[in-house]
Amino acid sequence: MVSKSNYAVILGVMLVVLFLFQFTGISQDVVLRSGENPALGEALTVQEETAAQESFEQETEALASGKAGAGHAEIRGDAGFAGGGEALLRTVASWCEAQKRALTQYESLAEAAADPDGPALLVADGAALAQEAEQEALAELGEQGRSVIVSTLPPADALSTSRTLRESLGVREVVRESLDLDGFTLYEGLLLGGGETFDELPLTVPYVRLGAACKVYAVGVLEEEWFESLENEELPPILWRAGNGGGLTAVVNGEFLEAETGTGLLTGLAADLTNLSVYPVVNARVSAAENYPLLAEENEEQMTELYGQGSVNLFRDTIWPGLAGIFYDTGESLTALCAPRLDYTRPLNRDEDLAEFYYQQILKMQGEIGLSGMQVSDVPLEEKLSQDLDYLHSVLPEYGISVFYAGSLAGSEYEGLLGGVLEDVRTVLADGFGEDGRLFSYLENGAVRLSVYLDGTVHEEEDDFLLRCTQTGYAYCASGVDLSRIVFPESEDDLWNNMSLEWARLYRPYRLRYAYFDALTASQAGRRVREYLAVSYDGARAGDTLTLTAGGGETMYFMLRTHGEEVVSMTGGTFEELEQDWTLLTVTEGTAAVTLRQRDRSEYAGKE
Amino acid sequence: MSFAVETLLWLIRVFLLYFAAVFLPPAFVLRPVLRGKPFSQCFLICAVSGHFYIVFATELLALVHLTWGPALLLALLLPVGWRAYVSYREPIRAGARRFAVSGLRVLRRQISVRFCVISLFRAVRGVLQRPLSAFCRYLRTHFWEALLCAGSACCTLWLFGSNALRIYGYTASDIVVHQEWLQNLRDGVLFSGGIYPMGMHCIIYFLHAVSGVPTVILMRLIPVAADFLTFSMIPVTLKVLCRFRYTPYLAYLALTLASFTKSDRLLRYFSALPQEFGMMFVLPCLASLVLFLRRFAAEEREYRKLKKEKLLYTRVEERTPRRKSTLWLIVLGMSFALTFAVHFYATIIAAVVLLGGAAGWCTIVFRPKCLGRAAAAALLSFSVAIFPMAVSFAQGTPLQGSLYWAVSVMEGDGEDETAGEQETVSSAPAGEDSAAPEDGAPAASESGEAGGTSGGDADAPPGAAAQSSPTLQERLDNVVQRITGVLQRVCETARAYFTEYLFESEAVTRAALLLFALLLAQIPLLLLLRQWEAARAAIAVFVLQAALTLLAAAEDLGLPVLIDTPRMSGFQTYLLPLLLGLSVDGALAVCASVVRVERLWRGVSLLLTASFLFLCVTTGHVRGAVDNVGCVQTNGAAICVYDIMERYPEQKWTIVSCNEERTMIDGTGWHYEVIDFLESMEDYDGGSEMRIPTQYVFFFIEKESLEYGTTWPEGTDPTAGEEWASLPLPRKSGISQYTGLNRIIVNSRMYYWAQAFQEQCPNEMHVFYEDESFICYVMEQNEYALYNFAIDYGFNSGGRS
Repeated sequence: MVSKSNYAVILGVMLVVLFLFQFTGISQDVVLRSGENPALGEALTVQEETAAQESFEQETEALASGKAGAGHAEIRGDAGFAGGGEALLRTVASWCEAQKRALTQYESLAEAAADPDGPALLVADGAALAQEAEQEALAELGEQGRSVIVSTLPPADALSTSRTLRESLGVREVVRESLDLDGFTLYEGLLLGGGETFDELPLTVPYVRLGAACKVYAVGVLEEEWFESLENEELPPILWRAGNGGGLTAVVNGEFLEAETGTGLLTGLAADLTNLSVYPVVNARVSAAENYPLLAEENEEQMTELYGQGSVNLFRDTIWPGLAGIFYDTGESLTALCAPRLDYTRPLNRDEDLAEFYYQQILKMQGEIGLSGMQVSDVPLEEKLSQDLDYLHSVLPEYGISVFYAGSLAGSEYEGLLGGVLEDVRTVLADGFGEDGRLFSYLENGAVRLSVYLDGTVHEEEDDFLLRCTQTGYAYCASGVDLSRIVFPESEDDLWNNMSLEWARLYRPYRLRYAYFDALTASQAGRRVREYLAVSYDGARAGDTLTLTAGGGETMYFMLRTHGEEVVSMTGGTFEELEQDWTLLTVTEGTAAVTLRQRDRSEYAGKE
Repeated sequence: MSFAVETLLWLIRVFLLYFAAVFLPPAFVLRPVLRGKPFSQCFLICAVSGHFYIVFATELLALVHLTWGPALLLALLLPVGWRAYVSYREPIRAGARRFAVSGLRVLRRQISVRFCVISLFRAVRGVLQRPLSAFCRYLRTHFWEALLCAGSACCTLWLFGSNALRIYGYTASDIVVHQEWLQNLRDGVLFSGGIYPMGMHCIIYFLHAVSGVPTVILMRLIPVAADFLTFSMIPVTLKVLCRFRYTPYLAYLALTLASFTKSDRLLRYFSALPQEFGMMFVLPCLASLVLFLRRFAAEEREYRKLKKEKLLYTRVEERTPRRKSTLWLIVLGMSFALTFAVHFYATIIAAVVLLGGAAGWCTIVFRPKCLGRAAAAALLSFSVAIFPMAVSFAQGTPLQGSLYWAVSVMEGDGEDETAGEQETVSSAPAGEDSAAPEDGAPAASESGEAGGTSGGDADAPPGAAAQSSPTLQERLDNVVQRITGVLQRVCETARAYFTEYLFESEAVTRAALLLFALLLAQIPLLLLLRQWEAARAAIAVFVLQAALTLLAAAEDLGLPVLIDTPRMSGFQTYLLPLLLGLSVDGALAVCASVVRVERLWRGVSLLLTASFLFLCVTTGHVRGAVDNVGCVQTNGAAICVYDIMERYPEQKWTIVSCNEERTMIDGTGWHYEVIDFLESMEDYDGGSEMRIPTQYVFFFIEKESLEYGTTWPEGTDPTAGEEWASLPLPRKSGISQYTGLNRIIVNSRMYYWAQAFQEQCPNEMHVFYEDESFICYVMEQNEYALYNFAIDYGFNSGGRS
């Protein structure tokens, strides 16, 4: 027997439960029916974007002119560059820009040594160390307590003859002038992502043996009998650090600093040379489905031959469930870079409801739709884009396209359109690093360019090393999979079954290693990059407390690299330990205080 | 949490563990035997039988290489299970049945869980109610005794426990040797260092194996628990010997609370050393002997009475074939076997104590029946104790080196005891441990003179002897004179020995001699007054104290040396309360036989105890915490060892230090000796290599070196400094590299090495712990790319120096 009051309560509870269940569905439906791009609501306003860009440009200019240098400060101290080629200088400049360090250029190490008030950290070209004056200057810099990162080892004869040079570089003896290696083993600690052996990255380096107190970050790998019989400590070092008087010297035995990996490596090495290192990072993982969805039938004959159906059906009924599965499984945010057509020379055959279908599906996944600039025909880009935007506007009238995928197009091909047909675009995704070697840059009309530097279906060792370096330097990863290859296949690898297999296989072990970074759509990542570029910061350590003052964005991300210390508390933001000695700081206020504690310290110290 | 608090928590755990292992099983198994006996006797039986069982069960299992913790635990629980099966089978079955029925009824919802819990509480209360009410009754009737008992326990705990909370390192260098031997028990090797009494090692290993408490903690804290037991045996034995209730506490507190005896004599009790551990079983020998003889005499009296009345046929011996006296003979045998199993020195002291007991009860002990039983018990006890050693010896295990040393001491060749005992360093103040006392030379010359006199007589020409043939009177005078001379010399030597080794002042020595005289004077009085038991006890104590004194001063008296004087004085200090207790008790017994009001004299004994305590407190003769406990390790190093073992994964770390830590870490990590570490970078040419293949490397450096082993020259500054570091590394082997000034050199070198290395690896080499006298650095390294620690630190040969 149920009393009236009990009956009323039960009924009330049931109604509330019914409402809650219905509410989520209804609210989602309301959003979907609106047809808008939710990412635009989260974007910075035009004024904010302008302010961020101006802030970035002013600070970059100030740092370049030496006005904003922090001198010998432990946090964000200035850096120097001595000698070396253009490629190395470009890397160093890019790294200094990323870390907001003032860069002082010297003709030689001797000139740097003659300036005792100069930067505490220098990057030098090892080739120049063949000169005796440079060798003495390197030793002198060590006596001054300054640290030097040496790119490539000096010639073997210089090493053999000069004891000063050997001691400065931590080299005991030269075993072979040159040794061809299959690859190298990177030990954990230098870069984010832990240790790894890259045995398919051949390199030729001098084979030296190190002296005392050297810290080795990477050693060579060679599949030969004599090599495998060597003790660990006898393996040819690739990256190491040695004491040099009162200072330290880090040596890069190879041409890593001149390549795209340079910025990340410099970050890791510089962080290891100082007791405490803090630098701004983006904190974004972007995953793009390039040329997806395809809204028109393309290459019908081959499609029918390979899959027994047209490209529209294939993309909707076969590829979409697989793709959605991968994204659900990995927790990535989908940025679908739509290709309304690929071949603009053929008659058009498309389903008008298809765009609405994809729109609803992608938004349910918290994804975003952008526009791809790719085509297999030869129509002028502006015309193609006009047609595409007109079509998308007709089928999704409320949806604002803010992301443009430039693919492998040169900057000159599309940059001019950003003020025209692509006026609403704020974020441009482009394959690979920029022509200036940078990951991010401002384009015309205030749009920001983000590099997509990994292919989701390919992960060679080279990519893995690059990923580690880039994650360390920027906490940024962007990968894409070009699905137009399915429609116009060139090899077996372009078949969807092979492609999906590789995509799913590679994603989990390699990309999810960095799952501690935020998975974002392109627009969200664009906003993060703007704030990252605009950030200005300074820090000082007093005892166990690191005080960080930062400006330029609402939420700023910093990487804190410690040595044997861990963060115990933080005010003005939050922290997350990513790996041992690597902590991501999220700063939400102008000043943040981070309290550190030495990990390897007796619990009874000072209170016995 | 500070380390003192951590130590206190460990101390409580070790105490509970030790007492639970030693007392609970015998208390349960021997419950029918213990029923009706006074608490002190139950305590004695449990302590002896508990130790006996653990020691010999562990030794026997170790002989068959079965020293796995669960096996030892099973061995301990076997008799418990047997007793539970034999005596409590039905109650256990009934309880289990009740539990099962209640469980089922709860499951069937016939009764509530709440009802079950309440019933359980009621049952527990019912079980506890009886002992609790008995305890309360005891408190009401024996309030003052309970108070004194609690006070005595607190005194002992304070005396031995306070240092454990203040000094964290080992206090004798022997400890690491003993620790290593007991650690080898884990591998099933009983006599890893050669044949040696392993009783203490077996107890500690047993506790370690069944509980998992690290051996380093046990070695550091077990002395507190063991000393508590050892010193508790004093009032327990006095309770057997004394007639009045409170005199045992007076005597006991005179040792533990009052500061009349030298604290130095107790220093060795602060360390886990077998000799002092073995003292725990010395007084039980006396107590059980006395109880055996009393019981035996009573049984004989009863037998004679029945025989006289021709009522022998009424005896019920057939139904109770074991005589009650046998129990105490067994306890005596076990105690004696334990002294043998723990340390031979304890056996010597036990033999002296038994000699005293036999002298006191000589009218009983020499009866053939009694002597036969005692001899059989002694033989059995000796056989049991010797069995594990004999088996191992037969299997080819050699004797341990210190046994040869002990023999050499007995043969009078024990001048350099430290050389014999594996170069060990004692915590006792320098010079105290030397086998030869400072007045050894004059004593020897006196002995020589005496011999000379005697020799002079022997060498006299026969004619001269014939010419001056002494009369009987002259001969008697001569004998009396010689006896008087010997007695006088003995008294003087004893007095000198008391002053130098036992008592704080000449006045206390005089008081002690007075007590001797009082005890001696009481004996005829007590005999006259037919106070047989008191007289026997007085004789026993007088004889044993006199014998101990003779043994201690044997070298001075020209007698064979069994145990060197410093050690002997430590043993005698422990037994001194018997002298005071029996002197006072005997005096009261004399008075009580004149004025026969037992309650009055019991009150007087309480009054005397209270007055003594009052006088001690008001005159400042209270023994505070013993300050000069030596230490072979800094507190910082001990803290670091504990912390490293607790926090870091096993086998992933290495400690680079002088010597003590090698054994302390008990195989959980690795150890590298400082001297080897430093020698690897001597003759430095840039190509030297010193790598340690573990993830963590800890460097222990004494900023102020310990005065280890030998005394420094006056004015030595032990602080690590360039002057010391400039001196060449000691080129000796063994422990001498870390003794005396060598230790300062080695630590100074390490200090500057650490500074230089930290300059080269500033981000990797951290200070793990630092205080005024000690610093510990930690270095984390990649195990696949080890650091080469061999650097030119400015003081190694071949380097910048």
